[in-house]
Amino acid sequence: MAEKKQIKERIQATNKTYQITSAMNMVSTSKLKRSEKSLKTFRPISDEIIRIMTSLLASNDELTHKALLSSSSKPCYIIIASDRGLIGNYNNALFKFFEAYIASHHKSNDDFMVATIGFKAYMYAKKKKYNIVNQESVNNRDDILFTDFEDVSNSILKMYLNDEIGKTTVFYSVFINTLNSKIVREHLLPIHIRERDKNNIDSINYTYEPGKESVLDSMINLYINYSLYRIMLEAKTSEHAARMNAMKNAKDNAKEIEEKLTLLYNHARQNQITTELIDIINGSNAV
Amino acid sequence: MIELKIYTPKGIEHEEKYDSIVVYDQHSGSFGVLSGHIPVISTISNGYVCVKTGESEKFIAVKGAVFKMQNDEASIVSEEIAIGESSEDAMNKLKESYLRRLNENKERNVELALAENELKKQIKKSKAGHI
Repeated sequence: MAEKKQIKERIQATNKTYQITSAMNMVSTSKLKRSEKSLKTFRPISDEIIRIMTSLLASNDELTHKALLSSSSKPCYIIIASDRGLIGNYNNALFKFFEAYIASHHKSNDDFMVATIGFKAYMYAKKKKYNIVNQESVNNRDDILFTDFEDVSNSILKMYLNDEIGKTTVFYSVFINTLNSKIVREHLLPIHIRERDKNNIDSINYTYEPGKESVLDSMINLYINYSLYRIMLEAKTSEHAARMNAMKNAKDNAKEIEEKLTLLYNHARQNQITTELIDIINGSNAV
Repeated sequence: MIELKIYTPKGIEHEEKYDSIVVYDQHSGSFGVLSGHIPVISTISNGYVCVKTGESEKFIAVKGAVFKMQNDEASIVSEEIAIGESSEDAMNKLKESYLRRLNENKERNVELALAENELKKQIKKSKAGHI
């Protein structure tokens, strides 16, 4: 009897888990679609910023900026993880990838700086006792805004220009399709204009207000912010896909366990009925 | 007339034709453009654009933006925008939304830290590792 009750309770708990994971799976699916759409909308905007900067640099060969030149100061790594869990191996795979890179490139934690985006990344960096650029966790919300991360991106640029940090690399997970994502590292600083971007410049002779140097100075800041925003959108899309898969697996497992438990419950119920019948038969035989 | 399109990460947020546009940046000052202006590019770290059609004028506060104009087609790529009846009104709206977001983020950080502690406590309590 007690066994039957226990199994019943486990079935109820598993059913509840199934319902929750099903709902989370559906939510992640819809968020993934929205995130993919945001990424699609943002790409031409990001390309426009790159085009304006490339055209500006192409307009004058002597035009240069410290953010375009390499630095020998200690490197800085930006880790973009999620704010919340229930996401399968998404964060752990990223952290392992980062640790493997650190192990092969540095001997001590003092040889580099770390900036984090996402609560999980912040907690990880704190636990590992890395030298963290941001004093508190930088949110990685579903509705990303520049406000969320511009403090840390401005600090990184300022530190780079003051030679406090050198080459800056971002570690994040990039979305390939709903089943696959890839962890990548992308260089943010010094700014490197790709060859294909160099061929995609505006042919119009623009006037720059108030002057080319001043516009370039502002453009560098915008370039960093817009690049980081694009990277965060990529990571967010990958996060939603990972959560969708994790919740699908959890949902399937919950269903399987529920079926097994129902079988177990039916066995226990049958055992109880058999025992009761034997008791009745034995009783009637005794009479 | 100048056709102005304002893009934010959400897509095109504003699209209209105006007689003139004045671009104002807190750091680099201001300049105005009329129809037929030579191609121009400028950045607006923090500022606004004043757009006029006939007697009516509107102020659009922008942040982290690039203004570009050629052939009477102007575009602004901006992180965020806020439209107001005066420059102060538009700038205040943008500042308010910035501060609101910062407060939300602070509260969220506390919530996440509490949730993480609670989860750790519950996992320890359930002795999940001993099952």
